[in-house]
Amino acid sequence: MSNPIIQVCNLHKTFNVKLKGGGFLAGLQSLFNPEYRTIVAVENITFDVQPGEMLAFIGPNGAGKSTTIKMLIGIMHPTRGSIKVLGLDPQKDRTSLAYKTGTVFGQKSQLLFHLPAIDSFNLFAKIYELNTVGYKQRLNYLVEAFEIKPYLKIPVRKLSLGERMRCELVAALLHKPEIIFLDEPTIGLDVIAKQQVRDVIKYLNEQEKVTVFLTSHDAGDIETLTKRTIVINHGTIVYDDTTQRLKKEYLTHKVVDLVFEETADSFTFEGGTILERNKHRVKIEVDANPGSIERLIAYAFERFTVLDITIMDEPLEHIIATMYMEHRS
Amino acid sequence: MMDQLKKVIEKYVAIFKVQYQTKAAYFSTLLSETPIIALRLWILSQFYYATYQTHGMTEYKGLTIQALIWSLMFIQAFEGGSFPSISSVIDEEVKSGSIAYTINRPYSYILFQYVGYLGRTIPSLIINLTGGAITAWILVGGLPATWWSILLGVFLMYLGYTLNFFIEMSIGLLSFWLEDTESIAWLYQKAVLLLGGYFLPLSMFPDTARTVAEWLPFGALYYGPAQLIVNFSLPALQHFIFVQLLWLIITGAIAFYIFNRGMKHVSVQGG
Repeated sequence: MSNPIIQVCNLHKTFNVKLKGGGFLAGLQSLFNPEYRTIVAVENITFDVQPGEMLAFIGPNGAGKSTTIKMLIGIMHPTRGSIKVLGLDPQKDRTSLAYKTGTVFGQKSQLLFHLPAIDSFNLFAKIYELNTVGYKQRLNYLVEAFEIKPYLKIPVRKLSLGERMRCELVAALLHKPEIIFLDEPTIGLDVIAKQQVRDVIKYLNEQEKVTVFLTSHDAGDIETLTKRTIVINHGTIVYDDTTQRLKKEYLTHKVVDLVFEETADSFTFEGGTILERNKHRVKIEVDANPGSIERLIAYAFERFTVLDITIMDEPLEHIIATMYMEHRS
Repeated sequence: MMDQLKKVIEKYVAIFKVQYQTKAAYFSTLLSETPIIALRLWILSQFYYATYQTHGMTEYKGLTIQALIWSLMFIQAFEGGSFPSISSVIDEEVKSGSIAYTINRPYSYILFQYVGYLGRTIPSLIINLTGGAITAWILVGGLPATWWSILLGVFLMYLGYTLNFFIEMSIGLLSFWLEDTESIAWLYQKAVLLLGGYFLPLSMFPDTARTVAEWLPFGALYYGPAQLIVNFSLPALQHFIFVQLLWLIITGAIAFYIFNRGMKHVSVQGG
C-alpha cells in the first residue's frame, strides 16, 4: 500500500455559537451580555485516504462533513489534531495546496454568475497559472468528456442546475488536481442530472486517477460510485469500511411509492411492509434485491392501473441512525 | 523567475478584467447613477449660486462657483464609482459561504479583492465622470484646471480609492467575528458624506473643524484629489499626499492584521 494522500489524526473542531432569544429585549440583552454555546462539530476523528481512492464521507445534516472538508483544504483551522494532505499542512500551505486540489460545493457556485462559463474557465486558467496551449487542450478534453459545449457561451445564471454542476466540475478540474473534494455535488438534481454527474465523477477517477473525497446525502451516489465509505454522525466516525459491506448490512431495503387509478384499499402485497396508504396511493418497503421489486411491480400491474411509480433508497438518515445506535452500544 | 512574475501579473490582470466585464455587462445599471449625480449637482449649484449672490461674492476661501461645482462633481463621481462597497462584498461572501471558494485559491485574497474592486470601479467611474462633466459644463462652464493638475488629481484619486479599499476591507473582514457589518459600513459612508467634502468643501468648515477634517481619512479619499484638480497648489499637494500615505499605511496594516487574525477565526457558513 502506498503512502496515504490524506492523513487525519485526532481531528477536533468546536465552534462558539451566540445564543439569542426572540424579541427586542432578548436581542438587546444578547448585545450587552452575550451567551455562547460550544458546538462540537468534529470530535477526534482519524482516517487515511490512499491515492486514487474514491471515498464517500457521509452523514446527516450537521454531522461535520463539510467542516472536515473545509479543514482538509485549509480554510478552517482545527481546534486540535493534525492533517496532512499531499504531504502538506493545509492551514500553513493553503496556497500551495490549492494548486493540487479541486473543490465543488454543491450548494455554492464558483462560476461568475452573470458571465458565460467560458469566462470563468479562462479566469481560472490564469489564476492557476496554466500555460495557454496546455489549458486549451485540457479545456477541450473536459468540454468533450462532460458534454458542456452547448452551455459554454450561456451566462451561468441561465443554466439548469445539472448543466451548471457539470460546469462547476470542469472548473474544479482545469488545473489537473490530484484530489477533488466534492461536497454534495448531486444535491437538488433530478434523476437524469444526478446520473450524468455520477458518470462524470466515475470517469475522472477511472481515467485520470484523481482521488475523490465525496460527501453526499444520497445513498445512490455512494452505492454507484465508491468502494469505501466513512459515516460520520455528531462529529464522530461510526463506520469506516467497504461500501459493499454497507450495502449488504444496511442498504437492505427500498421504498416503492405507487399511485393507482383505482382506490388502493385492496392492495395486499405480502412481500413488503406498507409504510403509508391513502385513497390512491401506497408506500411500501421491500427487500433491496431485484427479485422483490420485480414481484411487487408484477403484482401491482396485474391488479391495478398504475399511474406513477417511484423507487427510492431507504433514507440515509435511517441507516445512519441504525449505525449510530450500534456504534454506541 | 521573469516567467513566474509574468504569470502572477497576468493572474491579477485577469481578475481585474473579469470584474470589469461583470460590471460593464449591466450598462443600464451603470447609467442609473448619472441622473442622480446631475440632480445633486443642479441642486447644489442653485444653493451655492444663491449663497454667493446673497453675499456678493465671486470667490470664497479660494473657490469660485465654477471650481466649487466641478470639485463637487469629481467627489460625487469618484465616490459613486466605488459601489458596491468592498465591505458589502466580503460580508455577503461570508454570509453566503462563497468565501469557501474565493479564499481557497492560489492568490493573495486581499490582492484578489483589490484588483477586483478596481475592475468594478472603472466602468462606473467613466460613466459618472462623463455624465457629471457634461452636467457641470452646462451648469457653470468649462473645467478650471491644467493638464498637470488633472494628472496629479487622478494619481491622488487612485490613492484615495486604495485608501477607501483598505477601510472597507477592514470593515468587511470584521464579518469573521460579527454577525453583521452593515451598521459599521453605514457609519463609515455617513462620515464620508459629512467629512469628505461631499456637499460642503472642507475649506468652508470653521477653522478648527477644518483642520481636524483635513487630517482625517475621509477628506483624503476624494476631496483632496478633487481640490487639486480645480484649485492646485503645491502645499495642498504635499498635505494631501502626506495624509493619504499616512492613512494608507495605517489602514493597510489594520486590514492585513484583521485578515491574518480572521483566517484563524473564519467559520464558513453552511454545507
